[in-house]
Amino acid sequence: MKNITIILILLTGISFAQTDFTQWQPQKISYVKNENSVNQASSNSKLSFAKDIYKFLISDHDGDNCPFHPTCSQFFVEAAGKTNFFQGMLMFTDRFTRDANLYKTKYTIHKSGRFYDPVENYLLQKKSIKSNSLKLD
Amino acid sequence: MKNLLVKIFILLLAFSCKIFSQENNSINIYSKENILKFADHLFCQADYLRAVNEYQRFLSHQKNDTIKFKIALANSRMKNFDAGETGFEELFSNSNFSDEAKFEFLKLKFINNKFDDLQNLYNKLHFDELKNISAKLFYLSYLAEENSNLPNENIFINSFDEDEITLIKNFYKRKKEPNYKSKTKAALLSTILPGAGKIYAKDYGDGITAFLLNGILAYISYDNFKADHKFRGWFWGSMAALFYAGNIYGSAASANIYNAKIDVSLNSDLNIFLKNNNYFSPDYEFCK
Repeated sequence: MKNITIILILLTGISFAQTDFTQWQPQKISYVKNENSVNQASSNSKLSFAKDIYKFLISDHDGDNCPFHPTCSQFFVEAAGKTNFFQGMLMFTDRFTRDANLYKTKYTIHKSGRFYDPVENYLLQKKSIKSNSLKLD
Repeated sequence: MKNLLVKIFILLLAFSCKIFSQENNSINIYSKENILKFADHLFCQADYLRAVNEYQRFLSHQKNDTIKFKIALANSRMKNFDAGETGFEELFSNSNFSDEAKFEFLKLKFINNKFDDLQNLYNKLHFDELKNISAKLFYLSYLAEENSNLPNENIFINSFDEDEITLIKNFYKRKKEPNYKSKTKAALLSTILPGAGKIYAKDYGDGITAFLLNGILAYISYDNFKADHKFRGWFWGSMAALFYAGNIYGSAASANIYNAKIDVSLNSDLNIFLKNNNYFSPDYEFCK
């Protein structure tokens, strides 16, 4: 019981600190329309809980360190939105494995400066693969 | 006083020069000859949008097939597909530019990835002079088209010049027998040994990572069961199973991406070949 209380206090402390930290950062306003906004909106409603937990427990503490575009959590949300929860989960674990590979040479660079690894490449349909994400030998 | 007179004289001299230069009416810049000269200049500067306007202004004075062809050519170079196609189509019959228009029309279809239209049209059109280069575009469209039925190799290859044959043979072989990887085989290999499917699809780094990750998760699970930590054993066991299944899926996806790369690579090489040869376009000598 004592341990649980301490963990809960710690977690609330962290969440407050994160909220405060974010609040006082200079915010850059982007007027660029997000191409996935429609998909996100529909899938967010279904997966918002899982995504929020992932963000709260991992992303907020780990920082903005994902080397890919879209990021792993966003990849999962998009994958589950474009397919189904089960296939999205398989695609996510495969992405996680690729993330763990330190020797990443097969990706093109997205304009965000990250490796471009879109969900469309993993739908098992050749037509949906984005040719600008393929690095030719 | 003398200085003032000199200044006034200089000023008057300067003004008179200006007036003469402005009021020189001997050149009519809107004569049809000058409109054509200006339009040709714009065309050769690749200022196609303004060249089209000037050519159309010229056409209101005088009908001319060369100008019509140039307008269509300018539109095609701007990738203004509809206007270009309509312009060339007008010149298909009763025109000195009939063959050139037909060829450029086919070329426009090729650039616009309308390979079916190109192939159908080529079989319908009659060429007097440019049959050879039109045939090259016709056959190459089968290489660029997805899931096409390739024509007979001898007929295909013989449509090209001697110096092109080696390269064309290589393209033909790559299209006919692409070195694809089987998605099913990749998935099966990863079922037997995690990561093996990825290595089969030449994703060596990902394959080794998948093998290590699956091995570590399975070992953690086994070790926890061994120490009688059943919850932790089941937790890590589930994680291992999830990653194992994800790797099987990912191996099939890797094979699919590998196959897509083969197609993209062929199309990229074909485009470079066509651009280097300017799509076999004849030199119209409009900008000497």
